[in-house]
Amino acid sequence: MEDTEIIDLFWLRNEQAIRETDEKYGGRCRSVSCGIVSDPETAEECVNDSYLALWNAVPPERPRFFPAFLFRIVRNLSFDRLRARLAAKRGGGEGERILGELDACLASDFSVERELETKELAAGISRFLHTLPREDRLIFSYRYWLMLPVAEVAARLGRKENTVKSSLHRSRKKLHAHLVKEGLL
Amino acid sequence: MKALHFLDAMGQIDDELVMEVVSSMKINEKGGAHAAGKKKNIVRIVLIAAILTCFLSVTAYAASDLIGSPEMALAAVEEELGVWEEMGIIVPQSPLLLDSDEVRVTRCEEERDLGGYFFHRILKPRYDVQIPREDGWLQCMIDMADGKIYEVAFTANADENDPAVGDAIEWESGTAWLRDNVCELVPEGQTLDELCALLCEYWGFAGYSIDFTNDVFYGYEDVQFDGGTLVSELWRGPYVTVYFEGDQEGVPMYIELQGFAYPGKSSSCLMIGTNHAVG
Repeated sequence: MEDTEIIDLFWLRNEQAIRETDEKYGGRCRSVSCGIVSDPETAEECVNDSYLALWNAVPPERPRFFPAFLFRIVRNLSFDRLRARLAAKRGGGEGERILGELDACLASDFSVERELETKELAAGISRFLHTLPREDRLIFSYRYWLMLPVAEVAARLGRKENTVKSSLHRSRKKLHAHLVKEGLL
Repeated sequence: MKALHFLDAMGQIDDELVMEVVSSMKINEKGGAHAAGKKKNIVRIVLIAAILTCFLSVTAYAASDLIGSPEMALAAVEEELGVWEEMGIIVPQSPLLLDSDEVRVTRCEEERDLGGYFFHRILKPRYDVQIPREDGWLQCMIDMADGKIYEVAFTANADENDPAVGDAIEWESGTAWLRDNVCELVPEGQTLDELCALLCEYWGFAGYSIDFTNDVFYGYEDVQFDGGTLVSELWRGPYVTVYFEGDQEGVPMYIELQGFAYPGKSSSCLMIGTNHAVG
């Protein structure tokens, strides 16, 4: 079924919309979530919560890129779960490692008052990602959007772990320079 | 700035970037399989293995593509071309005419698409992309698996300001002069060693060796090249056979620079062919 037809079903408040969404994108939704929360059961819950969020968001929304809209919800709800786990210090695992990497790269003198709006920062990050060669961009996104372990990034992209690590190192340095240049850091 | 804030913002990167990441996850599309439990996974794996055995000859060429649509192939060509220019493999090229009716993007993954012709030895699933440029033409094979160029032909049309070389060439339809515009393709002073080293870096090979070319058909018998040979000197000469060390044991690669002249038109063409991901 075409995405526009699925969106029409949501607008008609037809529950078939959820089944069609799951049929078409369920596998990838679970893959996105599982990468972040590292637990199939929690991932399943996140995907179900995402479908509910989607149901509540459409209408009034009519997403231009339906899958991107959906995957973003899945990713962010999964990240919320990870964040709760980190806050409770209940085995953040990969999340803790990722935070450690980023803390070193993002250290700044910014005060709380100058804390940026997330949207503004997201736009800056998007611009930065577009400047990277595709392979580096994918590696960066797999690590910090999907939050995958380095070994899994390497396996999924068919690269050596060292290649992935050095790409991430380069990209974080470029990110720092980019954010400074844009006045975001 | 806090890392958590950054990761929050990562969740709002633009749609195009989200789609790029998720599209590239095709190989792991059934990520939910983790949830099915070990026994279910074993059954699933056995079934998948049986299906794969039946269709191996076809699916071997269709697996895990990073580039899954003509639009992605065109975007990959633009990006990889930029990489080649930045690395100095090729001099900056005139703009691609992406809106032209002559743009052709062909998905080649079936056995019939992969049937060999001259430059192909071991063929990989790919997009064959042809794009006119302001003063030339680009034909580029984009590897579906990793989105990199694995074969390419750059053609640059000469104009009357480029020096004519050699005698006039007589065609039935008129007279033509070959004009030297190699500088529009090959960086000045670039040697074969330098070009091969850059290609190694791009494809991730460990090294290379330049072999002699023995091609009686073209009248080149045991032509030995030196790594110090200028690439521009290959113009009108034999093609170069190169063996890269790494993941494509024993598969020859070719580097060729040619000039063409027809009445009213003269062009130079640089062709580089490889099968870099074999093995």
